[in-house]
Amino acid sequence: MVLIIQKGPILNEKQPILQSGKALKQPLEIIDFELKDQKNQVFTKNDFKNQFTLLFFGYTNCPDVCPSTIYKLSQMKKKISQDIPEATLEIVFITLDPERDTTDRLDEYMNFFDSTMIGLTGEISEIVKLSANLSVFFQRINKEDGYDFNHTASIFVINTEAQLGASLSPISSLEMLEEDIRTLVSK
Amino acid sequence: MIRKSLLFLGLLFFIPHSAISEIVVKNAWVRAAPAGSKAMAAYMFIDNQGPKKMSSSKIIANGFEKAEVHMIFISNNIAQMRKLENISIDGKESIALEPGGLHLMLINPNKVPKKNSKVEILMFFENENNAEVVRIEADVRSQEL
Repeated sequence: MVLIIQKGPILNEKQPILQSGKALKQPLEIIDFELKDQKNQVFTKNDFKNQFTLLFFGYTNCPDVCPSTIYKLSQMKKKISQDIPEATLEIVFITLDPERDTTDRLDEYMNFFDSTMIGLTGEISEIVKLSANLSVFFQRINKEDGYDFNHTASIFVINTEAQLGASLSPISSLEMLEEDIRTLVSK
Repeated sequence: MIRKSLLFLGLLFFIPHSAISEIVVKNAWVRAAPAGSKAMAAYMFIDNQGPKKMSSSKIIANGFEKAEVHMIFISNNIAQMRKLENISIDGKESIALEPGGLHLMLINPNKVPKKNSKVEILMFFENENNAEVVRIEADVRSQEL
């Protein structure tokens, strides 16, 4: 079982005002890390630079929350990319289950839902390090026939400098998330 | 698995085509998932048109090892999935199984059903006076918001 609880970054609800979450007063530096994407290419902190990234953590055997979030983000990216073509927006999914979520599995998963998304896997130590940096909680729940995870389902907005700029609630409506992300990428 | 399929066919044979069904299921769908998935979620709207509370006692999904009732709880942005014993619906009430909340978890498919196919689900409901089996054909599709 992996349990991570860390005091969260300082949040400020005033600037900018978001409906679906909170923007950080001081953007949080992402720590150095090394994972692999679904094409088996190395992905590091530097790959967050020069675009906005919507980042979330999950696992491909998650039947409900993760695919719902992927669907929302995918729809939103299409709309925002059409309306603000200069705002480059990436969606990145980091697995909390590298044991089952190999690069091949992620490739299959991303192709099924949205082939433009980036799926990351790798050493559990790297995933733990990054999740601790972002105050992501995850806990493996063993069952008779496998295991699931309880996990933070927030959507993290990473700015063009590879810093965490905001954290959004996964249960927000598509409209609220879209408006907030438009606000953040237009800043 | 053959035994399980025969059981499913046998149960279908004995389903009463009653005009006094109390449980009515609408808009049933299964979220399409990539090959290799170990579990799929099913959603629907269930209406109890009878006067008394009905509870599910068994759920069978054809082509899956088992089906369970699960609920997602999100607190402080942490998603937790819990298995529930059953679905209970008060008389003249209805319940929605929706993404991010209550759903059926269809576990270990023989083969992951493709988008635009259908999954047959049998839901057994009962109370102290009545028992009923509802046969559902759920569409396998993507989520629509």
